[in-house]
Amino acid sequence: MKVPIEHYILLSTVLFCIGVMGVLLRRNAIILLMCVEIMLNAVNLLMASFSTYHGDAAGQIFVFFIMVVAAAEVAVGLALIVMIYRNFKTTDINLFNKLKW
Amino acid sequence: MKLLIGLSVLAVITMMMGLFKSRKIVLPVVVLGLLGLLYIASGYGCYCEDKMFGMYINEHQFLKMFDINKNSGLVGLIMISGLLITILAHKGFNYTENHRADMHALMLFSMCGAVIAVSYTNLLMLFLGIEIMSIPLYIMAGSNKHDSSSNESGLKYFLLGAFATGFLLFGLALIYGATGSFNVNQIYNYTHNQLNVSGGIFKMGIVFTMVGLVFKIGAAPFHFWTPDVYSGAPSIITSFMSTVVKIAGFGALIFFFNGVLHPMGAEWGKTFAIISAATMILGNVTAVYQISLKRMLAWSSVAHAGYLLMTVAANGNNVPKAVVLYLAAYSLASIATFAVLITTGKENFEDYNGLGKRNKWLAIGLTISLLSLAGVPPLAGFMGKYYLFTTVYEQYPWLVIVAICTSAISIYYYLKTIIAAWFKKGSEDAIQVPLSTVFVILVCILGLIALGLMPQVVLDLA
Amino acid sequence: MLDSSSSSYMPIVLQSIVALGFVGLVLVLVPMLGPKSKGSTKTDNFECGIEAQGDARVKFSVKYFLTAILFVLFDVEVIFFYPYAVNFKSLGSPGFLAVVMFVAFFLIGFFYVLKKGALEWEK
Repeated sequence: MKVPIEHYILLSTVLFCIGVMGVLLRRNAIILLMCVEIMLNAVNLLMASFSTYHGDAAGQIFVFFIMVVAAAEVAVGLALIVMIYRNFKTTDINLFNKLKW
Repeated sequence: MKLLIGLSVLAVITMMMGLFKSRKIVLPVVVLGLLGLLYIASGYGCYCEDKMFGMYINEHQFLKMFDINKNSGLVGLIMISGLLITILAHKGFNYTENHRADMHALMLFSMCGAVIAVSYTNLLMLFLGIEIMSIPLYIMAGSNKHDSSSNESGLKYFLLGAFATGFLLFGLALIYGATGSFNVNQIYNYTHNQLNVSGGIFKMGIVFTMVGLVFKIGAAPFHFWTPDVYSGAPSIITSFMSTVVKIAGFGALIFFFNGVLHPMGAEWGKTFAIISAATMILGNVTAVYQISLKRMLAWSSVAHAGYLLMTVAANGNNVPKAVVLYLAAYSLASIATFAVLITTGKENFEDYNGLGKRNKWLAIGLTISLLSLAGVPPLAGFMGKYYLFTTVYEQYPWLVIVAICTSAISIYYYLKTIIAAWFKKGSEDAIQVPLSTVFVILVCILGLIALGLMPQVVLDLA
Repeated sequence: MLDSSSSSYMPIVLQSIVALGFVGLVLVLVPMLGPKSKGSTKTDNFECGIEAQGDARVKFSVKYFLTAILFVLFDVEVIFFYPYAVNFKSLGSPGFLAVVMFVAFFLIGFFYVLKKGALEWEK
């Protein structure tokens, strides 16, 4: 039985929304990072399913690039969080309020 | 392509120089390398599309009407701004003495990304360009390790930038789903042929891409990170963010909407008009209430993003030229202002009281660049605004009126700084200005005056 | 062979019965047969080596983190070899040159990491 493309779109949209809600609601920098990863994985799923749907490999290649860029981003982000933790002794983003308008 | 290879090789060489304790020659090597690359970029006459990398090194049929991306205008602007900021870094990187070479290398990598972001023919390259540009920036924004506001700015920029990337990618995925291709030409054909078809997925894709890109350039309603990040990051990095990154972000945005999605202009034009008006009002009004010059500049950069977004809304054929002129004027003025900021090392307005007595040249540089940002004739900023407003006026008269009113507000806070610098009493100690900074300020001032008197030079180039 | 009658599921049922039966048998038999010991040492938490004291959140060296991150970076880059491996023949020598360039950039990065001393455990 073939799963229609709409289901994939729905699933990845739901995943994406979970990620967005996580970023907006959670207050721990590391969990925020994980939520961003959920968003990117939702995009990966969408890309891969569209790629199969169109019978075109470009989408899957895009997924590779997203994965690599996400890894680079995580490396930089975790390094920043470690640096922050050394200075502030916390990763709660509510406490970083030195800069405000 | 040559330019891009040269830039990345230069970046790798710079990175390696950091390992071999050759700190003294890093700056000369980077500057000479960038000058050489600028020469290559100026001779970029051979337009040819690079199929393998999806880079756009030519004028394609549909892009004839939109010839901003001939790599002469925006890429040249990116290279020149990068060069000036590199020279400025002679003093600007003093806070991170041990990592000078690494910082230069990161800046060069970021410039690679910027060049890719303004010359893509494939949406994959759009994504990669923006990411290659942003990831080194996250590090650079947080590079002052022992300063808590720099730390905070780095983390904020990282989290929000990654968030925006998610939106951009989701949008690109939906566009791919609707059109079946990442190629810019095919997407253009899709929009051209299916004007009356209501493709829900495609439209959602446009909305998400819009959110992602607008986030990256820091326009309302996604501007809130801009002032925090700009004022927290080290000044030299802020100058890089507000010039090179802004040019690249705008290049990407304008190319995507006014080039690729040009036929659907009626559908998204109004949205951009509203975004632009909101950005101009918010940026200018909030800038009035700032007590720190750096934060004021951050808000004013939000406001300038608003002016530039007008052209996206207008979606006309003359637009790119006006944009290049405006971006050139804005970048030169910003770099000169930040040069003053870096030299004094102070960020609050009070520290600029009586700057004219402490160092005449700094005060003159500050005055001319702020006047240009305010749009006072005969400087480049005025010419930029003039061409911008005339191209937009046909379609959105109300938008131009909003823009003129908000520029009037902006004159107030720019003049406030200038008056403080010349007529208020402050500390009297003379400020030593390094030769490199004098050179940068001089080039910027001369550029601003020359562009104000002969804007045709840039207009022809673009 | 592929008839869906209930008899074709017999081997699976048998296998399940044997597996579950063996587990149950062992669980019942072992406490009965094995030696038993009671006392305070037996009921204590299991701790290896010296006795536990102080906070469980010990400061860890940032080198673990660095190594882990470097592993992730270099590990993920490998996925670019999959498309190349699939199209190895059709890409020919230009493709090979491109991959050599890719690996060269990689090695430069690795050299940088080594020179920076990110992988040195003792300093």
